[in-house]
Amino acid sequence: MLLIDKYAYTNRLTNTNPYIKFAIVVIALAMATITTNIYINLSILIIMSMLTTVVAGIPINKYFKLLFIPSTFLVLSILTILISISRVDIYAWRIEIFNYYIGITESALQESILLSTRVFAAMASTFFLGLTTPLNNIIRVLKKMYLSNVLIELLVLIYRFIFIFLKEAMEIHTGQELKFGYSNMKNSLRSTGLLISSLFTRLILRYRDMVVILECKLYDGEFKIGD
Amino acid sequence: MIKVESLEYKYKDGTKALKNVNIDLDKGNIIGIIGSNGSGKSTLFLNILGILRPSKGTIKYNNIPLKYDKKSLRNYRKEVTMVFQDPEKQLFYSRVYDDIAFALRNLNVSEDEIRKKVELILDRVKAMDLKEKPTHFLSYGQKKRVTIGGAMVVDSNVILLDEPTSGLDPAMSEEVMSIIKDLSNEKKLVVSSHDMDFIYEVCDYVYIISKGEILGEGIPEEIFLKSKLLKDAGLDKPWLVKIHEYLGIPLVKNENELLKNKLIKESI
Repeated sequence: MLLIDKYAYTNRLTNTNPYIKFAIVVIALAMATITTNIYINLSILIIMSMLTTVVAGIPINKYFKLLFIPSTFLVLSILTILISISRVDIYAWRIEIFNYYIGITESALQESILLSTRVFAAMASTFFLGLTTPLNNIIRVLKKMYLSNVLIELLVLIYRFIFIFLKEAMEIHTGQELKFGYSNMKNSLRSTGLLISSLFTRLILRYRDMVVILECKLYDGEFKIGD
Repeated sequence: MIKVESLEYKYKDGTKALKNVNIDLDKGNIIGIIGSNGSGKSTLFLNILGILRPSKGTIKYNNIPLKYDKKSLRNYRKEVTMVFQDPEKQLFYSRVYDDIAFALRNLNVSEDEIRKKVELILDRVKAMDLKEKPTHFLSYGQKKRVTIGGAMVVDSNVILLDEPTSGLDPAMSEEVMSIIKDLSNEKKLVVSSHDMDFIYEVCDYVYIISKGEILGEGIPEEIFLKSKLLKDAGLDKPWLVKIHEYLGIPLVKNENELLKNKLIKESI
């Protein structure tokens, strides 16, 4: 089972009105995107983290671990903004190699700081929604907002099938582990390949069963959502 | 009701999965179909549902042979539906309520009507407390009950149940059994199972299938006395039949009757 999903159904804000939570998050996201003030971004980050950990009761260490998962991407993209190469010395901090300067300019530094705080503020906001609101409630909000049925249908099915997919993968993995499939590098590589191929065959078989079952449930080409 | 007449089903490679199968669902209210693994039970069910098309023979519903065009099949499946063995494969929505409502929404029933019907069904399969739960949080037994609910909701006349108690703990089996008994008051049920005790207690008519052929049929109190037949089909006797044969205790239908029977009490 997914950790995020478990928290969404068991935290102290699970049953709070999803519309309110959704509105708060949308406002916070808008503010983080529009403003160029790092203090506003930092306060959004702090408020959202507090709401998620202190108010909703998500364990702090788990929360920060989750928050730092996307950080790798952030660091990579910030680095490209931060560092530049030039023949002219325009840098606040630089190194010189063969008449070229590699370094950081004052404005790039400011921009990077603003961007990082903005990203963290936005992430804290979406994490707040994701960690405290069950997907079924989010779907209800999206329906009220007249989001296209096709998209909601996709969301519903993807959400359901992620768990089936993960369960199958985990079962195969455990089976392989018990037979020492991951005891060394060579075995691990082979096992991973086998896992992927057998997952694929299982999915095809499951799909065939699914078609029969859908037939019995009078499915006519559309997963209806209801109110 | 449904009649299966001299049905034969061949796989694409030519092997016969079913040979000259005759079944009449008018012979009881809960019909048991028992046989070992690979005996052809599931293939038979898929034929009855019209998913597979027999190579020979016919399936008649209310004395009219089944038609295989899309519209007739759709109408037929409003009357005849099935609960499959693996509940995991039958749940499509991440909310119990939506999943039970699925077939009704496919029939374009109004949301008000759906709400009423789903609540009624949730109550009958004792799953009211699961209504808003995400399906991946349910236990196997709870999933099973929800899938039974999902089939009941259409108000069909016939429900086929493939191994309804497999993989369930005793308490959950007991619950599924009581749901089935309750259902049989208004619907025709066809149950396949390996659990002879369950079949013996629940069914009022039983077909024994082996290697694609019907080996025997009859009411449970008679068919389960035929030792050779059961052995040929790779099946066993229910414990109530065994104690009747080994200890000479009168043959009763279930444990309750056994405990209440005066004759038995005296002899103990």
